[in-house]
Amino acid sequence: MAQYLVKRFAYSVLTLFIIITITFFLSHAIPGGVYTTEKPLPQSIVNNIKAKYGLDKPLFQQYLIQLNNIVHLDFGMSMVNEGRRVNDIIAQHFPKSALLGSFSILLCLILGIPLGILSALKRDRWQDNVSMIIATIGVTVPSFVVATLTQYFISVRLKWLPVMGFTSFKHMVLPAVALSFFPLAFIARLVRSNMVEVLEQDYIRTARAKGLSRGVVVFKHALKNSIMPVITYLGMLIATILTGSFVIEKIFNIPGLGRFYVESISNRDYTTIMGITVFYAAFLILMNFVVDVVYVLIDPRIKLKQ
Amino acid sequence: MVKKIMAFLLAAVMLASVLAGCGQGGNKPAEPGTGAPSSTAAGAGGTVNAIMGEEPQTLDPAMNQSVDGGTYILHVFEGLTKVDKDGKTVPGIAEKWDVSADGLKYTFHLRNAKWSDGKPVTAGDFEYAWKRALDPKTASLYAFQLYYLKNGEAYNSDKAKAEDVGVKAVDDKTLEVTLQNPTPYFLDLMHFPTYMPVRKDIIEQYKDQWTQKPETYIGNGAFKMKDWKHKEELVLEKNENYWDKDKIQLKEIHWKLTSDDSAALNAFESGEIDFVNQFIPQAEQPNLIKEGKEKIYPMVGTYYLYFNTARKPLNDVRVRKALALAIDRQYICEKVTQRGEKPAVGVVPYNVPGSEAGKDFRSETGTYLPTTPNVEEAKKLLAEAGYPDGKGFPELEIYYNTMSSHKAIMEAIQEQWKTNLGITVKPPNMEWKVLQGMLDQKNFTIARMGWIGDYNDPMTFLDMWTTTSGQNKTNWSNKNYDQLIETAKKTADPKARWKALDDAEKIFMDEVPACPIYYYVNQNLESPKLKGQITDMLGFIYMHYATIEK
Repeated sequence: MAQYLVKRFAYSVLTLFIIITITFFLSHAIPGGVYTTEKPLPQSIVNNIKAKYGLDKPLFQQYLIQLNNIVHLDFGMSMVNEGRRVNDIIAQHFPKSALLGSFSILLCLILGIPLGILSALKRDRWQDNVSMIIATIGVTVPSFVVATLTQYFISVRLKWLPVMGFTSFKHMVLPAVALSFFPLAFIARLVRSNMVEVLEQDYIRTARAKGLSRGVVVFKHALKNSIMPVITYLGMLIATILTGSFVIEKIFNIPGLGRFYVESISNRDYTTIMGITVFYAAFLILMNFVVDVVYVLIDPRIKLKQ
Repeated sequence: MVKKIMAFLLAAVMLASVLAGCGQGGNKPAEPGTGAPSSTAAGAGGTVNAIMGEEPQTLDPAMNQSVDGGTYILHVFEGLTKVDKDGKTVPGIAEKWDVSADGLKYTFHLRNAKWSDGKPVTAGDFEYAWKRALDPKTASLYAFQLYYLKNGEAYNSDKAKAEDVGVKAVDDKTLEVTLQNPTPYFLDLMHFPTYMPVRKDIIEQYKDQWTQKPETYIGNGAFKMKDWKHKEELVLEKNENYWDKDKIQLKEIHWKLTSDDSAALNAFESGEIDFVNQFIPQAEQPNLIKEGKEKIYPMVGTYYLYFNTARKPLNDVRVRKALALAIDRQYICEKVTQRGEKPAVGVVPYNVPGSEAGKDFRSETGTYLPTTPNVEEAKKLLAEAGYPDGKGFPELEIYYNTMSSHKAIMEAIQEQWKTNLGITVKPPNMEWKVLQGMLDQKNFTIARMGWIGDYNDPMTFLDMWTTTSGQNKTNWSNKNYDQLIETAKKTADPKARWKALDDAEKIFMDEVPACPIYYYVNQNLESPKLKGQITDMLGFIYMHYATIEK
């Protein structure tokens, strides 16, 4: 077990190192820089800015400096948002994305799994058809369409919920629904197809033959097995949703991390690009590890080893 | 059948909205202060909710480079002069001033004004602020706006010392300013964000963190920061220490920090937002203008196509002229952009002051471009250049930055050149910073660009085309032109200055290294409840004298 953890940790560090290297050189390879502004600047001013942020040094030296900072868990100052440290940006805005994300993941699970089970049990009946039509719409309609439509009808027309902002629970409802639309539908389809498969397995027949009630068979025996792929998906989903969605955060004016990520790239804010990428990658690696541990807890056949 | 379903849906929506209207009592966003019984005059108090763009990159007057950031700064700070209700330059922190006969020396006499923490505003605050913005270590993006000061550029490029810069606080109430060249619009520059005073003690203590919190973001303007929720909203409240506070009616301004235009429109339609500047969905604009919800304001800005004059076939002036003459500018303004833009007839836009008060430069000078295409002349020029009916003309590319409004314009031009000249161009789009990078390397044939004036004078549109200007990306160089700009900058004789500017524009339009398409306008969504906001020619918004009905 200890050996496994050490190995896993070493691989994670290596992965992060590769990600840092690629991110650094790619972000510096895109044309333009912090100093390309709306109005072209005189050379003297461009020189001042380069000197201030150390962009006048050779690229490889800049790389080593940044690597050294990251080892000390300091991502440096944002080059665009004057006076803000990248660490603070992550610390202040990640919780907001995470709060909204948790809420929408909760929605996905509470609605997605039962919808999938229902379809599997009522296979090819109208309940199945209706829930799979809903699921297909959910998978195909992009979240920004859901966001804009619900914002227009529910907030502008009906005035039931506020249009934008992030100050109360009411503000969270529409963005959470928009965010959860796709994963909810995806989970429902995932659960359904696995459930259908599992329900035809021999051990389910045995359980039924032993005279167990349908409820016990479905929820105790079948569900446990058909939920495994959902857990795999959930690891990735949590990492994606909790770190924030650019589109949804922009439409509802939510001060989340997702907006910073995309904007840092178009602003060529090198330190912020790096900080958020590393944070996101580390989070994803962590979630994958959690998923592996959860596997072991649910399925005794799986052991933690390479 | 379909009709019936639609009718049913409509009825359902209407019913729902009626129900929603009934239950709306507790839903309204809280308006702080409106319940207070202390309002003295009619219309006093009130909160405006407004949208002008994303999170500003900075609120530091020296560091700011954006119009939205500048607008926030102009609410929190006041310069030596300010803008009055009619958009005119009037005394601000300076009560009066003397100008030397040669136009090089300004002596400002400051009034008794206070910072938001109660300390007096001194001439030293201005001296410190300007020298700080010019300090190469500050690395201000807009330092060039202070190059008018004597040795300003030299100090910013590390070629002179801070002491050499032409600004000096003689005593607490007197500021002496020496300029590099006579600058007729210098008093207008005094209310530009980069010229705002800042506090030395605060900045030395809090360094680059001073703009982050209300306690340390000390200003001397009509408003002060109440709260800054990053990426969410910037809340400004009336500054009770402002010297002219009796003229300020609003209690608070909530700037929502977003640039999503459809969300902004939704928030405006629902009543959550009273004012939106610029971020309005393009497709909705003709209707919004018709309904009176959207208002159009003139702006001093020109939309261009840059020609790379070092590349074939654009190195031939006849080709450049033919391309410029074959564009239907009126069609682009009336049918494509549809926001009330004016077709460009020269480099300098309308509403830029001319030699006499009340007259604008445009009306005093020539009309260089037709608003509808002059196909005959264009064809003749193209044939003279060796491409009769466009035969043998290479396929060129127009670069532009990805945005649907630019796309529509580029496609219109593509079509007009095809029909009028028989030539084919391709408009590939790219990300904004990539386009700028291409221009910096002069790696383009034709590219779209825009220029909004930094001050309201023809010079801001003309001095960027000299051979040495970093902003001239076209490889175009003309000695006479350079000479005329030099004359206009150095002379203290207004007549000679206007003549030089007029002649310079003539040369430019004769050689068309860049082809003006239209003059920009500014757009606002304005609630009828909001009155008295100012949208100036440079794009800044002033809520100072605004009132809002409750």
